[in-house]
Amino acid sequence: MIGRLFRQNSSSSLNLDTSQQLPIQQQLQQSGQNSYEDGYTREILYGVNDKSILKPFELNNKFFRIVVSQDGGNLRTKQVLFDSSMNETKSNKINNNTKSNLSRNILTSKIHHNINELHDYMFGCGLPTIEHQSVTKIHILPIVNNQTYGSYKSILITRLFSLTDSQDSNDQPISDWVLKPTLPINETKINTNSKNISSRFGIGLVIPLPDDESDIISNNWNVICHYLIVLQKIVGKKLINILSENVQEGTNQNNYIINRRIQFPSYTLSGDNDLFNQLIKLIKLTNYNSNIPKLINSNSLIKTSSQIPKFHPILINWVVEVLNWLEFKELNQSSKFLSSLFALIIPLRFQLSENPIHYDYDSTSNSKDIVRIVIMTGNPMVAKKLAFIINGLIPDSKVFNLLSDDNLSLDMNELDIDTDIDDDDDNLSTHSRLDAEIDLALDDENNDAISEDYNYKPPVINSKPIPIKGRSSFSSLDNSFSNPSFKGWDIGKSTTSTSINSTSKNLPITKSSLSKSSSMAYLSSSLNSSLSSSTSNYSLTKLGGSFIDKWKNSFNSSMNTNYDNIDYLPPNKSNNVNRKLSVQTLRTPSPAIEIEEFNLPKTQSMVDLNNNLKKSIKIDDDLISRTKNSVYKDGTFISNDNKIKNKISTIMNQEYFNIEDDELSIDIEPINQLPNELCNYENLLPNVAFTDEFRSEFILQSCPINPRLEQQVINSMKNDLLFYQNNCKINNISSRTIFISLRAREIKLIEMKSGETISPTNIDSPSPIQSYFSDFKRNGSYKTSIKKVYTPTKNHGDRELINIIDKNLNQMNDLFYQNLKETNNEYNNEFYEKLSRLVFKLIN
Amino acid sequence: MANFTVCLGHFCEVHGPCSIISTQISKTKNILKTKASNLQTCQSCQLSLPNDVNNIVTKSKNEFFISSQYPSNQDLYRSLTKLIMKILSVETSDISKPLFLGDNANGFTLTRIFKIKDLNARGGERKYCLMIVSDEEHKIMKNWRVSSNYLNEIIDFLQSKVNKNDNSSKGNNNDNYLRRSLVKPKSLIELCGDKQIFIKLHLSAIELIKDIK
Ligand SMILES: [Zn+2]
Repeated sequence: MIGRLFRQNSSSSLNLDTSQQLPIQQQLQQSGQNSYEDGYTREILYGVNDKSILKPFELNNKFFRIVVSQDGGNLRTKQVLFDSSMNETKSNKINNNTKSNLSRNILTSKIHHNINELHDYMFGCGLPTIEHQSVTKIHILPIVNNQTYGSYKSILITRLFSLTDSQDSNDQPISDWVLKPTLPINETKINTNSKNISSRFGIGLVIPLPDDESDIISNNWNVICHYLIVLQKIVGKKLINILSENVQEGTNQNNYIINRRIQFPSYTLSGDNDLFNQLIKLIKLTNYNSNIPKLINSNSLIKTSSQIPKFHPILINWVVEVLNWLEFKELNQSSKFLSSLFALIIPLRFQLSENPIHYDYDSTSNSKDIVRIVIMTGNPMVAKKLAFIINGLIPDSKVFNLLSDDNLSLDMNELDIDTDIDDDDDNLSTHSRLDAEIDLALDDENNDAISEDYNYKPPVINSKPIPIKGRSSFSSLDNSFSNPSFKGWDIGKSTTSTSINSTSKNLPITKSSLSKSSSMAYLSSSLNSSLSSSTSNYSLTKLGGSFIDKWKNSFNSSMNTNYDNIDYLPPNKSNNVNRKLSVQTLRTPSPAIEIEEFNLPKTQSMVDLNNNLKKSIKIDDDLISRTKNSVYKDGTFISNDNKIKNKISTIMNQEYFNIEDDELSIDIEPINQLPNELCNYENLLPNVAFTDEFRSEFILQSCPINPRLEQQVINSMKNDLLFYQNNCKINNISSRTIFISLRAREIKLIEMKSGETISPTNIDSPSPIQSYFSDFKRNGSYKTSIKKVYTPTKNHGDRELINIIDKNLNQMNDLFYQNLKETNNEYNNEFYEKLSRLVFKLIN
Repeated sequence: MANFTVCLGHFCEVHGPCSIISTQISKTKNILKTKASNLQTCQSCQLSLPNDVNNIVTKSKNEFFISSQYPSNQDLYRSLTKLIMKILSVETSDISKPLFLGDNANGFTLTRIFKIKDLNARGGERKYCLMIVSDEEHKIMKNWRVSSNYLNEIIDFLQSKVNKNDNSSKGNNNDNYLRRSLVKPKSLIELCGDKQIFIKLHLSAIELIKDIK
């Protein structure tokens, strides 16, 4: 229902008048799609109107498989230690003697590859190696034909590793050939009394993906690597534990060490629940990362919207959504929710553009800074809008470079000139908003200069970014919470304090009365709000595809109980104040009007704006193309395939080459007549609009209301610290989450830090997954802090910055109203240029 | 900047797994001065270039693309040798599909193993691999689709050239039997019937490196 209504809402603003005349019922019948699938949503979230972006990928859980095997030392003798396709009961696990006699379930054996075949891929067929380093392999497996489930394609990801007591040779060569795995791993070592023990083990993951979807694996390789490392550590730890339990009493002999080789009995790990949980994790990881499309980097798209090569409507649409939010979602004129959120995000925007699962080999600092944004809401429509607005603030230099015209390529610093924001203050504050003559606070001189060559495309925009104080402002924010005197609120210079007063007085809301029936937006949004009070409306099933439910149902209920915190022990009960609060808010809505509900539209003008806006702005489908995970410029991946074919064909069929030779070499000229260069592509940041559960690999995501969500976020932040500390030898790790609870109208900042600079006064919480890292060194404790930055009654944000942002948003609003009045809302170049300048101050 | 190398490896019946031609990008014209003296080669595994030179060089803008039997960088040489050994004498793989091998000690490669018919080879075929190798794993993964397309197109062309050049089917069975018994090393030049096949491989490798770097 929500979806249908919303689709109508957005399409009415897209296509105007015809649909507006229709009664609601009729519209409901006509629009069969949900809000996630309408064209406007696709455009603002994904940058294209291409429906295939949302097409879910059917993955059958039955075909997923984890195998752990050991290399027996002789050619082609491998022992299975764990195989998730084995149908084993708990009783088998208790009786060790029966393990080797396990018979394969007849049905399962038919739907999976033969284990010996997998071993050949995993370990190869050559002589046993003496190498110790981890090896990763990806094989494309032969198709399995099964009468019940049909045939399927799959890939095998193999991780080979050694358990050894010998030391690393550490002979990284000193040349420009320096090996850089996606993520480094700190190999697990064993301690034995004998020397030179070594054994090789293999972990095999079978993932049912057709090989023409290699995109899914290659675009999410960092996530898979992270998973592989954690799994390798878990398996290594378990094997070492078994080994240590089998020392013969009174001797140094170990039952499982034979001829300096570790020899576990077959199926030593079979029936292990942790490993079955890892299988569920693998299934979920694959599903979430292959089926949830990543957001287009709208920040880059906005910055380049006037260049690529035709005008892209995203800048206007971003402004419209921001202004809509201000008008319909803010509690009142002084609530400043959005400004406060911006003020929290903008200083962290560069940290937000770094993938949480990423190791930077070029970084010289021994530190890692992870920032995520989680929106908790029961209303997917609001989630979508806010995700779009926030995503506009997050830069991505790779996508920016891809999208920006090489010749026009903007150095972001070049924008940093002119128009001092403080000079505008007086202009703004001396005019009443109800007065039609609003000074737009842009320097006249500057406008003239720009409008001269404005006929063909908007010029390079000169604007000054909002003066962000960077990390220092962030730490002053810290102070404002730990210290009741609120140092961070210290406003400082007199000029800014004037602007605070003036802006709060002069919010740009025109108080004209609204004829309700004339507003489609109002009707659908008010209906919408009544529907959205049921939290169950939020599920990915309704938003994108039905895959989540399908695969969830295929697990038995006992497994389901483990879903949320597979990596973790039950949440720490001592630290649950905030959790209880969330539960309370869930049951008893706060007296304040919930932000998730649409407020009454205060003016009619916004609706008109919307309609008029989209009349003149239409996306051009040729601008960019994309897959779920990556973006292509000036072509598609299919056109790339054809270009490669043509290139090789041209070279191979060439008869004559221009050759010059000397004693040592022949010089060949490059071939000139080759087809055009391939269109460039980039992977997108892991920002998503919706996910039905929190995923730590995403930077920005919105999740349904769940009282355990905050604890899940905290657990994965602990995981961040452990992972980077143990595998990447990074000492100073900071993990932060901006946690937005729309129902409670709350913004929290959750912070966790490791490193030398920890004060003992803070909450200490040892990580639950610590036990999996056998070589875990406790470099100190973890400092966890949860701060409420914004609530309906208190605002602990950086007030100075909030006011600057608030003023900028108001200027955007004024500009729209003025344009509406003066030009009947046509987008002339002058308007566009002025608007761009204001937007750039926020997003640059 | 990541290092990329495109390499054609071969399992020589006489000399075992080895590189025939490898192409690198370089800021300087860093060519192989002499053929490695300890390197035993035969028709099957040697890079045969006009005038018996060691290198093919193409200058493109400010960069040099250099092809030689082995890379001049010793570390890369060691890595490449080990990777080829693994791919051609250890790995099992569906040879119509690409294979990724990420070795934290030797480098990261996307490769395809392929076979070329030759009655003068044991078993009637010769085994090769075409690889794109890098020291940065994520660069190989990011360019999976483009790289595997290149590998497939190049291998398809090699195989179709060999098939067109193949005269063995004309003879009778006795003839084939006699030829098969006469195991002898053969160069790709002879197998493809194309004197410029290594120049073409060099130029193809340049396009691949340019498109993924
Ligand atoms: Zn040879």
